[in-house]
Amino acid sequence: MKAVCWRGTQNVAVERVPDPAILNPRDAIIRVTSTAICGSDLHLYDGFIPSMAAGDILGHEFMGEVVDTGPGVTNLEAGDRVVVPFAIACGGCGFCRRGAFSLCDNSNPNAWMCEKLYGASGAGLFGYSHLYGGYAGGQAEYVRVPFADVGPIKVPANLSDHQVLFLSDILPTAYMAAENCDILPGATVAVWGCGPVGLLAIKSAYHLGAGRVIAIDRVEERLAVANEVCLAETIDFTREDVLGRLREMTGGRGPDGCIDAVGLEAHGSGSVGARYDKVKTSLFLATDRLEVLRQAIHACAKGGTVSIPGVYGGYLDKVPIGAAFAKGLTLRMGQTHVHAYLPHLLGLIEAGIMDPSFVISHDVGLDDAPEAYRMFRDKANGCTKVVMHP
Amino acid sequence: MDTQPDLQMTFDDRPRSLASAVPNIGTWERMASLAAGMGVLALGARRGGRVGGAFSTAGVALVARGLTGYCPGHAMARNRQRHRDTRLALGGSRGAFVRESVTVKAPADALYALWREPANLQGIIPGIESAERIDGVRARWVTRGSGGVVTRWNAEIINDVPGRTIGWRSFAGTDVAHAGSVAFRPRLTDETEVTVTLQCEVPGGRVGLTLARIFGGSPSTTVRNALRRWKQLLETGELPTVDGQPTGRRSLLFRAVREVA
Repeated sequence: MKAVCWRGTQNVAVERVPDPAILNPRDAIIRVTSTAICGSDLHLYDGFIPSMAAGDILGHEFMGEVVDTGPGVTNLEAGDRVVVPFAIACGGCGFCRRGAFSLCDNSNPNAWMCEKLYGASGAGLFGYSHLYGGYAGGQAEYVRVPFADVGPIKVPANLSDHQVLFLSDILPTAYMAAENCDILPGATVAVWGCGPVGLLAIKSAYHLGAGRVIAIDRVEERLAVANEVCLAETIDFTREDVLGRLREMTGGRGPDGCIDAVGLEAHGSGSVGARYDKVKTSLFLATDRLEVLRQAIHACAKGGTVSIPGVYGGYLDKVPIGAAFAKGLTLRMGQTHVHAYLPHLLGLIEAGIMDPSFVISHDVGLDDAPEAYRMFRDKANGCTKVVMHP
Repeated sequence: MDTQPDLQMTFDDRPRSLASAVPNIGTWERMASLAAGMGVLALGARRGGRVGGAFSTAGVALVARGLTGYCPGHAMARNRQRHRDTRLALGGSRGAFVRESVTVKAPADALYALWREPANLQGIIPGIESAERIDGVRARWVTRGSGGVVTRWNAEIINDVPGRTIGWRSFAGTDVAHAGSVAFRPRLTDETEVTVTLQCEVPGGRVGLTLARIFGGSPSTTVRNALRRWKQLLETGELPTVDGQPTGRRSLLFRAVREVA
């Protein structure tokens, strides 16, 4: 089969690889019909996430048709159309049973690596480095899905791939980010980053009762979508002072909820902190650029919440934890517990309340992956989201 | 109040240094040895001749024994005792101490019952070839490690509190002397904290342990990974794996085949 393989920093290639096989009783094999490139794939592309090996198959946002199941999978059969969560969860451990699926104890075969780095290991992830299990990803014609009796959700035929594909990651991620803000009716939420997760977080925040959502980015087309499609007020951080504008827009209080939908590759706005991060990461003295996180903590209203769906990987330098303490902020973060949100979000899509397909800017074939990664990374040609059809 | 039985085994696990590991006789014995040695030396010097020479040699040995505190005779006697007294075998610089825990979603009684039967441990201890019961408390174990190295040990249960803890130690015919215990502490309704405590002999002493740590085979890593595998098998019925999945790794052969195709 054909698969998109990581070959090195800023180097992906479409390779011919063997077809996947059932390795464990609870496995299924899916024929992929649609698979997307995620913003977090760009962290792999740019070499920010350690423990990638040349030849690893990428991709954690995918859906398709079941072609084979192991003897332990009784809820699926060949021909079922399913969307697969990006986090792999066993469904039986203490974490899974209380709905914290992305913290699953049992799905990462390389748990010892994560334990060395982080003290404990979360769930294994598709196509997201050996630290997270080294599972082959879904940017391929076929993919092996472990614990297939727990993860994949069947989707009705009347919904298009475009409508349901993002149940795999970015829709639940954006929704959980907004939910983590504990939005009170009429509250103000600020969202840093108008990429697909940021845009869907704006929609989710309104859905959960926000009175006002303010979106921050520097890419004109993305700010336009945030404003026109998602109905957010916008701040272009290259033209305006973000902290000053947020204070002014909120009567001096700051937003009640602040969502960092950017993560470790923040571009910053030429501030002293952003330059400091750039120098340190360039010299390999730091792993993450965190200008957005600093801004979010500074901007947040007293007693508010900073919610972090963006990915961070290492040790952060110059985090204004004093500001967070002084203002009694709540910081919430982590990989999304996708499984826990699927039935509810599929319901919203079926009812026509949520349609995440508006974030898609490009539909391409699997062979176009190298060019698509470049385009998405450079935000060229108005690229917000690429969906590939193997 | 924690009513958990004491997890410690009967061996001595006080911290020890390399320096204190060398002398194997006590201070009073050293002083006596020194005094006696000097006396015998003096006697030998006065007698002279062949008998005097023998006296002098014995005197030097006693003085040396007193000064260094090391008695070769004691050491030999201890080595013979190794299989009879685990406490001695695991003392000094030869022993490594391990304590690792894992939380498993299963009742303590069930986990205790599984652990009590040697055959059930085949899934957890890596490379196990056989676990054969000798009687109710003794079993014979054989494992084959990396490179086909066969390790045999015989263990007997020396502490058994149903549903709570099992303690054991190795006995004669064992390649690696060790003593250990496993404790099951119920948590919430159906979760159990399983703690394994192990004191084991490290072939090569501290040097061997340091090398093992550098190359990733330290006793604590081995025990930790074994406990994780056990938990994964019990909770999911399978072990997570990526062995055998497709990859775009380019081997020379792969590239050659692709050139031809």
